[in-house]
Amino acid sequence: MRLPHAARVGALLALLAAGGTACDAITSVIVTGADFGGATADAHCDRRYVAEGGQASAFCQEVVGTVAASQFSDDCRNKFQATPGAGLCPRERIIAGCALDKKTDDGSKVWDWYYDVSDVLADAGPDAGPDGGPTFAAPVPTDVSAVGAVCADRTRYEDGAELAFP
Amino acid sequence: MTPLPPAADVAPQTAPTAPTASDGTMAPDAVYFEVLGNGLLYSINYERFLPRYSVGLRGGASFITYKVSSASGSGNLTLATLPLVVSYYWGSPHHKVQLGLGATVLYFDASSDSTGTKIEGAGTGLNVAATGVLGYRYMPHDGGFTFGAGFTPLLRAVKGFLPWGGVNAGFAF
Repeated sequence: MRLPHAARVGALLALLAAGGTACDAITSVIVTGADFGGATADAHCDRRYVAEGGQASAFCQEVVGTVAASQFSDDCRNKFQATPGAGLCPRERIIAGCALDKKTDDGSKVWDWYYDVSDVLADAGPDAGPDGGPTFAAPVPTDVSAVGAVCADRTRYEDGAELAFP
Repeated sequence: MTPLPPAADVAPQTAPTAPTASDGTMAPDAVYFEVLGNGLLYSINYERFLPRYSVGLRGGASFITYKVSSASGSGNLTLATLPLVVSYYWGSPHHKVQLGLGATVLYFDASSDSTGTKIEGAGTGLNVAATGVLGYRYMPHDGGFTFGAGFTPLLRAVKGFLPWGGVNAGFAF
């Protein structure tokens, strides 16, 4: 007896979903064990401070409980010419942040913290970036509601983000 | 016809022998591979059974090294464990409930990024976790396939309590 096409497709999708769920569960178990063994750490990438030729941004990204801190650090330095470090982002001059809803492979949590950079802009001017470009790449929110608008911007945070405070 | 001697005068035909595996005692040694369990992610184990006391003495090891960052010059993370467990076995000759206590020695070294910097969390370096087993084990008498499964929690001062479990399979001899 042959199953109707819809039933076969449904069974296939159920099988794939179960496979995906099983894969997620296995990953979660391995990460839990690795965390108990000491493999997870917190790290940050301060995008305000960049190497020569890099484009600064007005935020710092922090990742909590990751097993891939060294990859995060290398990406920070190599992709953004920014400043990586251990632990959480500096809390001084934070306006607010976005808690990213994006699901990470290792179950880590990610935040982008936006800073009041008015002092830097006052000192360096608005066009101190590479090739006379902007000192800080957009967006440069100046208050909590502006940070909230950045968090709600699905072109920036595809999986969504929630307004957060340190 | 010669009369048979009284039964009490008949010498034994064979000398008494030490109990063998087929006499009802368990195979005295086992090696097995455990997924998760007291070795955290996996472990390869040797266990010596002391049938007189229904006790097993187990030692194991696991080693994982993994390059986390794809950037050239970055280092590997390393996780090594040594589970050491004393277990009491109770039950029928083949099917045993296992009750065990022990310690798992843990060593973790964080991976370094391409500049050689290590971003470390809590619990790196050499540590010891308390552990235990509450499980089932199949014991072959004459040696052969053995397996088990159980609840294998771990406890560390810096990480707290980890409700954990494991399954294992191997060879008894």
